[in-house]
Amino acid sequence: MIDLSKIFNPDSIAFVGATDRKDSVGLSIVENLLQGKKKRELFMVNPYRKKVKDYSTYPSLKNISQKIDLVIIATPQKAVKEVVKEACKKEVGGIIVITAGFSEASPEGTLVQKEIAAMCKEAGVPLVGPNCLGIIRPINKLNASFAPFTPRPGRISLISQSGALLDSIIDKAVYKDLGFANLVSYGNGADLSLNEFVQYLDRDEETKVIACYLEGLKRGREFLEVAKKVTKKTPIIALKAGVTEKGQESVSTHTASLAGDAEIYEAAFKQSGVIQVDSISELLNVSQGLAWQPKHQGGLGVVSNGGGMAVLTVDQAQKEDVFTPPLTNKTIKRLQKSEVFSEITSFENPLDIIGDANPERYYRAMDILMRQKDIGGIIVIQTTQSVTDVEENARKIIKIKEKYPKKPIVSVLFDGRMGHPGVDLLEKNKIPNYEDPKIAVQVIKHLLKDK
Amino acid sequence: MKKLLSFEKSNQLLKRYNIPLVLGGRYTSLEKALDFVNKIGYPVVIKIASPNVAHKTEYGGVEVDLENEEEFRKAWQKLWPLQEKFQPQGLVVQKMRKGFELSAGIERDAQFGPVVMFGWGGIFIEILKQVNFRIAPINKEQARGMIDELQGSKVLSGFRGRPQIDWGKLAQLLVNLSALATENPDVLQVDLNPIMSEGSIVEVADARIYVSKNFNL
Repeated sequence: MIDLSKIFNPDSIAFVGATDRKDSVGLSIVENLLQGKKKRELFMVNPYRKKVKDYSTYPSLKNISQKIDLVIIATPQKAVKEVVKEACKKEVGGIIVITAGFSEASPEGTLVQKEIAAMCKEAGVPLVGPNCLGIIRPINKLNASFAPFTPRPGRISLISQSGALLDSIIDKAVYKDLGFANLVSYGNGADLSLNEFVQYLDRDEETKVIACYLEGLKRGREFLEVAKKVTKKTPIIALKAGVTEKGQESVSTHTASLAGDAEIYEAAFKQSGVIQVDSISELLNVSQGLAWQPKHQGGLGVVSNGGGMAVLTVDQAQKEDVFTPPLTNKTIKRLQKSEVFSEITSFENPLDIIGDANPERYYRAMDILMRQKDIGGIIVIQTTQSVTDVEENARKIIKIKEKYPKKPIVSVLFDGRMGHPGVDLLEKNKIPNYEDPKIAVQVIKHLLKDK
Repeated sequence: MKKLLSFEKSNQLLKRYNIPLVLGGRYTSLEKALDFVNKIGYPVVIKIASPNVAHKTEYGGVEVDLENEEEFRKAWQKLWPLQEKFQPQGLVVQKMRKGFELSAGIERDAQFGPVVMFGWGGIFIEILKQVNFRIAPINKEQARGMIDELQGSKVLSGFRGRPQIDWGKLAQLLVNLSALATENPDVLQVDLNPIMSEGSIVEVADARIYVSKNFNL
């Protein structure tokens, strides 16, 4: 297996194309790299500038005598080949080519890209890109990209063939305070692509879930074998673009890779244990759910203070083949014995604890349902009614999570003026919250399997 | 360049992989065909054998459910001029099979290599477009999964008193097809349609096999 540790954990980085010209990609990368200046040595390379920020520049890689782990290249396209050659000669640990204008642009570009990839292969230097956003590893304060922000550390590793999509996800992630273990954009994938990253991240201790956005695969058969092994330990969630005929047309012009038939990809994902999703939000939601919550085999229990939401939830559960087991006599007896349910006459799953449900009633309901053996996890729904104590209810949900650490729990709470503090509290405590029962079911479905 | 295998060679290849075929033969003489029918018994089917005719039924190239010699002779006279219109290759005579029409096949995907397909057959393959895929090789359990996944496959398991299809046999057919795909890189595409299934009978009634020019049987 290829060693990518110098790309994800470099002790030194040389950035070729460093500049402090306003609104340039080069400056964004410089600023992002500076976030990790205490963690590693930085070398700024630019033959036309003496200084970039507080760094004296080097005219070329040749002038740097120290060892370099990672080289980032964002020069004009014409200069890339020469820089890669120098980097290979220096036996660096990895190269990221940000620069565009290769196989995605023209036949000539394809040719140069092939030459670059061949050089790297011969020198044994792993190559990311070209035409990519770069790599981010928040825990290491590594932002080797021109993304606008660095999200906080988390357990999801996101691999994206599209750099722009990654940008938007990062924007949203920072706003929603979502964490990531790694963010990888591999662009044209001249050397490293999905297969290598998935394999490497499977062994990364920070990574609990691998989420990927892909347009096409270059070595599908190999992916099948890799994914089969990886998904035994680390779940892979995939969003594949170009599943319709129209979508396929635009994919083949977008990235220089050929999209296969939707049905064949579907089969390949299924056979290798990859969870396929069909929207960006589902990709993020399912990844978050799997990163935050444990898996436990069993059926779904539903607790709600509103009848309508409860029905929507079980409707969706049935559509998605998620079993909602009936409450056992034992469970019903426990509920009957508990005086907080005195106003409730019908005990079913979904359990409607009525609009005036107080935190104690929420707690008891969740607790008693969790005790039922064939209930593997629960969705707890809270409609915001005038008597609802949003924050205290959230604390009760968190308490249940602590009491039943092996069973997943997902909440449905509208992030409105009244609901927001509750949502905030839940998310800080790694309870995935969704504003729609449909999404909550789509997420918990993957948590109620033992594999 | 891909080319279509002849009736005999197709059958030979499928038999090598234990893929069951409806009993039949290709004939250019009516009398020899009659001898064959007398051996296998009525009812039978006659269809044109030319590899150029993809959808035989659309061209009126199939006569089914022939119960006796009189009907057989009539159908033969009717189809003979038709087969001459296309590359003349004679007529195929087969035992008449009833039951569900299913289909299976092999394709080669640029990314994933050999792929096995299974679905409804006959005209339903075009109307329902209900087929599913697996990347080869597949085992028997995966093959059963393919059958189970097919929308409406419940009717194959003895729904409302209909005879139950032998799922084990059907699954084995798919496994054998998968082996054919992985062991013969020069076989580019296989369409088995229809596969006639009734009770314990699971037999391929029509096969179209495309091979590369390097293919040798």
